[in-house]
Amino acid sequence: MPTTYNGIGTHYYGKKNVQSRLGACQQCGRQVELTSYDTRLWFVIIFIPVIPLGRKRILDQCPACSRHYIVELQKWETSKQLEISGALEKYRSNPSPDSAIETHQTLVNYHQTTEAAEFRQMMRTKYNDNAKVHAYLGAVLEQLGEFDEATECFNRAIELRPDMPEARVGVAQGLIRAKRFDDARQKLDFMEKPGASQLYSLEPLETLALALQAESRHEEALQLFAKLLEEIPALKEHTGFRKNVERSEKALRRKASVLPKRAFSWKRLFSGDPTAPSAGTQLSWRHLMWAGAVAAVVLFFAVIQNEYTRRHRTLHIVNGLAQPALVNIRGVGEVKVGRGKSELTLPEGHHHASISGPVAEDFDFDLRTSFFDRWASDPVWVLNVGGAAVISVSRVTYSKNPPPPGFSYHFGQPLEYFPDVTHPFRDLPDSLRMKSHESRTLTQVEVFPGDAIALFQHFLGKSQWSDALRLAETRLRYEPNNDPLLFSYAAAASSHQQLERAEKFLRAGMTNRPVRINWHRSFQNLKKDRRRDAQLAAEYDALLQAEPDNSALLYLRGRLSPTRDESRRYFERAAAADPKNPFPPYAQGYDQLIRGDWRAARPLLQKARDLAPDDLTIAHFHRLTRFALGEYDTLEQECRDALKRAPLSVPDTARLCELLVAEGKSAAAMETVATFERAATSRYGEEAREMIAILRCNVLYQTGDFAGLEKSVGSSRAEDARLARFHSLIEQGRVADALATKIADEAKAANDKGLLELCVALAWTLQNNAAEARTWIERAAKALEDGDADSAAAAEMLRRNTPPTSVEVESLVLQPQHKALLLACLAHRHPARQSELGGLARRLNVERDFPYHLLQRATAVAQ
Amino acid sequence: MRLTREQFDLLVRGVEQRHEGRTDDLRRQLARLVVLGYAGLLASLLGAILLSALFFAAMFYVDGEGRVVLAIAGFVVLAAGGWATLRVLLVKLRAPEGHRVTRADAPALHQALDELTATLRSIPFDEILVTPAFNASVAQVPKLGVFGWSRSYLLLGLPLMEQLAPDEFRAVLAHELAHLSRGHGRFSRWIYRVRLTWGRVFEEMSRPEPVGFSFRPLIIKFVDWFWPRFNAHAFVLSRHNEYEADSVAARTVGAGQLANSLQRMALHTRHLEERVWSDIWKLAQTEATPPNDVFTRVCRALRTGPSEEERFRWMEQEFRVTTTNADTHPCLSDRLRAVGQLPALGNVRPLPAPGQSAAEVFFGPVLESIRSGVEQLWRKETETNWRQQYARAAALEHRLTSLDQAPAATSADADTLWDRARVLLELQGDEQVRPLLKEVLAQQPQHAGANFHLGRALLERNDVAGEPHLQRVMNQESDWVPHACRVLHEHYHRLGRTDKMREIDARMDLYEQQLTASHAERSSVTATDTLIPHGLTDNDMAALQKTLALEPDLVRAELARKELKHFPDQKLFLLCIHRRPAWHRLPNTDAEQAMVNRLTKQVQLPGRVLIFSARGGFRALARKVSDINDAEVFRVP
Repeated sequence: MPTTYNGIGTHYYGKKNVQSRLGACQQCGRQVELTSYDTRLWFVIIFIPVIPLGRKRILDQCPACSRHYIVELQKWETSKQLEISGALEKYRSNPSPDSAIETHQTLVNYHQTTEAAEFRQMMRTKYNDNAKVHAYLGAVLEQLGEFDEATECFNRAIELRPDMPEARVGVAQGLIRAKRFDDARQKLDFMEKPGASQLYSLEPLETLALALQAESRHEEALQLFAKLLEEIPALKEHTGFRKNVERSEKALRRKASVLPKRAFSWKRLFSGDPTAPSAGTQLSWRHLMWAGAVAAVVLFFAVIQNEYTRRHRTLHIVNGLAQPALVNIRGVGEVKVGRGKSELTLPEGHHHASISGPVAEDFDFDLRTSFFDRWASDPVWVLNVGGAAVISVSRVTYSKNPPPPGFSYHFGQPLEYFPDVTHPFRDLPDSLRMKSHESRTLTQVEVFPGDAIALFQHFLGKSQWSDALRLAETRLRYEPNNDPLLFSYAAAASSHQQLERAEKFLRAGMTNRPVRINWHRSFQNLKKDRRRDAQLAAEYDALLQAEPDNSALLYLRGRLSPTRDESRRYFERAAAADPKNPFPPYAQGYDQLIRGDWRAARPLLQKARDLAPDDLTIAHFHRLTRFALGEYDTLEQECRDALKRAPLSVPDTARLCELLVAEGKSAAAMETVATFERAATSRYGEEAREMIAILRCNVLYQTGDFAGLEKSVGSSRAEDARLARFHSLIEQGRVADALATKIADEAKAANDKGLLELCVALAWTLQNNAAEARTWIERAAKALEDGDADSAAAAEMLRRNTPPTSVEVESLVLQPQHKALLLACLAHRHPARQSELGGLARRLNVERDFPYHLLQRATAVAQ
Repeated sequence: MRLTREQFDLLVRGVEQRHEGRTDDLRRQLARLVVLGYAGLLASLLGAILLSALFFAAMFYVDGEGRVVLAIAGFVVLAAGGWATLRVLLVKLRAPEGHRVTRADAPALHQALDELTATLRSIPFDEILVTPAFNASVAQVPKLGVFGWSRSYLLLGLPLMEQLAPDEFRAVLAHELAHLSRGHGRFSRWIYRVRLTWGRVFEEMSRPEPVGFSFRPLIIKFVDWFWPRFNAHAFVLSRHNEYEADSVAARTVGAGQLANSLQRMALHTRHLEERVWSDIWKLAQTEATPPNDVFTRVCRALRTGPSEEERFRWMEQEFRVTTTNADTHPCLSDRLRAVGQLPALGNVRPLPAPGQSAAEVFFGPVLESIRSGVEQLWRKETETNWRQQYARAAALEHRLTSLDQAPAATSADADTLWDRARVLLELQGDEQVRPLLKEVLAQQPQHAGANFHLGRALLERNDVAGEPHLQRVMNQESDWVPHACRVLHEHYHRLGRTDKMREIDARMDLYEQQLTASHAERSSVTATDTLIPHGLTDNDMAALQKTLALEPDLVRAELARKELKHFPDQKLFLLCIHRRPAWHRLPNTDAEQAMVNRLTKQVQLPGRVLIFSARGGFRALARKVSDINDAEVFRVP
């Protein structure tokens, strides 16, 4: 049968000498008009005939199932002419009824319908008195589906020879078709005589029995079945026959069967029942034998392939460190891996790895899968040098409506095993071609290409703070200068009550040389505790005894001094010990800054900034100073330059918005947010929503649109939204509503201790609710009293009834905004000093974030 | 490919010539063939072993679980391959059935056998069975199919023992034991047993294939090739051994006794086949079950013996029979000649009935019970056949009745007469039907069935007038050739006409070869066939030209014949037509095909005709036709 796939394949073109006849299709068994014709077989491309593959004669094509026989046209034509001419010649030389029958049969065999019909007419005329000829013609016509003419022939035959079995059978068949069963049975009476099976085929009797059964004449059908069984005892083993008999017995509700019991046969059970009614193609032992042979060969090669796989496993080696590492697998080989990825091929089993270079590691590992998994899965083993590289695993589902992809990140372990990976260190395809209802999931393993800080923030965003801390610890072990990560780590540890863990981790790096100041600062900042500070100070003193001129240690010791004067002396010594150390000028600038003397702080911070341009803390206060001094144009230009380099930088966008608001360009600030929203949405989709919301809230707060702020966060339960709602309510004077958000009751980072309480107290004060204000002042003092010396001093100031002295105020080292808040509260507590304290608070209230507007209102009197 | 009879005869003759007087060479050749036979039969098992060995070898290169999988796969391959081979080779043969005679039952028989076994240094039999056959034979039933480990059975036909004198029967026993005698040579005895075993096993194998997983088709192919070649060699040795067994028997019990037993067996075999059993089986037409005293009747009939005329005729025929390769046993006259007992032609004296039969002497008082046992066995074996015969007779009677009731107008036509004749042939026998057959032939002289049965009936009466009838059948209807050949072969066998038998064998071989080849030859034509001039008579040529002239566009026609190897008297004509070309000279295949279609209906030549135009695949054939002398039969002036 010609077949085409997507228009390519073989196809018939042309149709000549078409002949049709009624008949049963050999394939589907339907009684249809079978067609025969000449055609040509072509090789086609998009159904265009390209190469002729020969002329064919199509025989008996079924219109229902299109199955047919194919013969080479020339062979068919030759055979047809020779056979027909041979038969005709034989008939001409011996025009007997037998040779006429033979000739007619040849014409019918070669589908010469017209010639056969003409010859048949001649036979009926010439041999009109020959019963055998008429019986033959009846049988042929019946096969050709010409039942009327067949009946005529059989009737003529029986007229000539009433005894002729073939004629009686033919007439009976006609009567069965006409549902004249009694007459049919009378014609077939000779088949019911004992011993009839020895002379005749009893098939017509079975046909009659089945016809009677179909008409629900089960009694008579059973009589005939019994006759058949009597004549042919072997039928008792025939499943098809037994089913027919059982059908009639069931219809008659017979309890006793004419069928003898059939012995149980294992062979029938397992080898199929050849006597059962055919149900399509049956599986033969020969098929099984071939299938078994093919399966044996396939299995053999599959096992060989399995063994090859076992012996040729790929170990992917990744190095997330800057320096190249030398990896040696004992008995396999050695490979030098720079930053990136390399591979080694090794057999499954127990191995020993030695790593040298940036890290020195020795460990044993197993590379092993089960025998069957080697066929079923695609495992990937990754040796991660020092566990420093972050390996990302992406599971992406391709379908019409795909679910979001799943990501997981692995780091910190020397060997990672991923059981089923379709794309190891290869890009996933953008799209896959498959059917619309199909779905396919691909898994990719690769080295995470982004910054560790980004992944750190991702973990925090997903509340996976443990993973975030573990990532930071892993990376900081090899990158102690990664200040953003270091600060983020310290902040996260503080906010998630993981101070013990962070202290333990950071303390381990205290003895490293050279002294990493930010590492020490982060360690010192973990807890604001006077006792801890005193203890640390003693430790630094001990270190300074060994290295008395170490500028870094001198600076760090200064940070721990209980008095401001002592601190200043250490900072001066530090600056003198190493003029290139940026932190002493930074500390001195900061000292000026907290007095509200932004101008004095400016050159010191500039110097520090020049010495450490990449230091984030110095950069922050340098920028804040310039902001406080109103250097908006320069700062705006710097922000815009930074955004050109990284348009989706959230901190730079936030800073630009803050500047624009400060410049009174609120609309421009909102437009900046809108621009960011478009760019971020197109890049990150839904994931950008949170960042945009934060930016928008910031701008709304900074512009003083508190109602808008409240409206924009709506009823969201997200932490940022709740905080923004709290800010908006405080600023709107709805203190009770703000307290209902429970924000003020939640745990705070060490640096923020007492901050919210002071805000609430100030808000109650502005609402003239002295009692509540007093309560919240006390809560703030309680929060601050456990802090460092400055916090404790602040708490003490809040509690006592006398106002702080000017010296006390100047020496108090707190973040500018925190100090402003404290001073604002003290100003209201001591109206006599309101002008002085409020004025300083107002000078320190530079940052436009909450509680900027609260402070502005609270210190308006001092303006 | 199976060998034809002629090829087998030639092979046997070749072996005889090559090894004449060099029996050791023949034995060595046979030994080689036996080795080849076992190797061929076990090839598939060897294949399975090799394949499984591959799996087992691979186990050394893989790890634990792989080893398990490979081991399982190896065992499965070995088990399946072994099963598929051994279930064919370890074919189970049914043990022969018969009434078992123990030493306690028949001490005299066992004593005689012991004496003969000791004298001839023969191996003892495992079982002695008395059967209903008129024969004595040895049966080897292997427990391991082609691998042997056989159980030996001595099968003694009760009718034979009833008919032979004790010494004559002893001669028969001596002959059979001689085959298993050490005097025969260990190798000859082994070959005799291998041939006997393999013969039965291969016969069993060639039965229709049962459903199941096996290497049967492969093994059968090998057996078809191997068995005739082995058998031809073993046949020569076995023929030699038959003479040797006769010689041993003659030395042991006396040549006269052996000669008597051979003659008596030959005569009574004919008597039983042609008279006694046919009379008994005629009872199946009227009696639903066999009579109770069949073996008493057989015994009585054998005692009475055939009529003098029959005795003379049958013995004369038996002495005329010649040795053929259809049986390892030589013909009667050759066997008698070999032991110096061949009577002079015309001096074949009738043998007197034995005073006491071997059955009476060797079975003594248990003879009746043995008769009863054998009779029961026979009834069991024939029960189904008898019932079918009875049923068939009843059906035939009914058919005859309906034929008798046919209208007078049609009762005399050839078909009705033939139907009646067929019924009567089965019900009443040849004598009663002969006039009816002649009536059929009077109406249809070529009637195949009537010619065959009339010819057969005449030949069975030794009337050579039957031969032309059978020759006519063979010439007219190829389907009847095997039947007619069989009858003629038997006829010539009885007459001792070896030359005619060879002719008949050759005819059968030719028929079997031509059965497929001749049809293929007559139903296809290609340019590679040999073509010859058409050889039409003037009248046929004139008629053809007249037909061709009716085609206005036909400009030229060429005629030739294909040379037929099979049935060369038949003709196959090739008529190549050339149509007038159109003005543009482009071919018009539709018009050409239409002309071919018209001409195929009109052209009548004395044989098969292929009409074609010189296009496409017929182009080369057309060129070949035009190269034949006087091929051009038509041309428009």
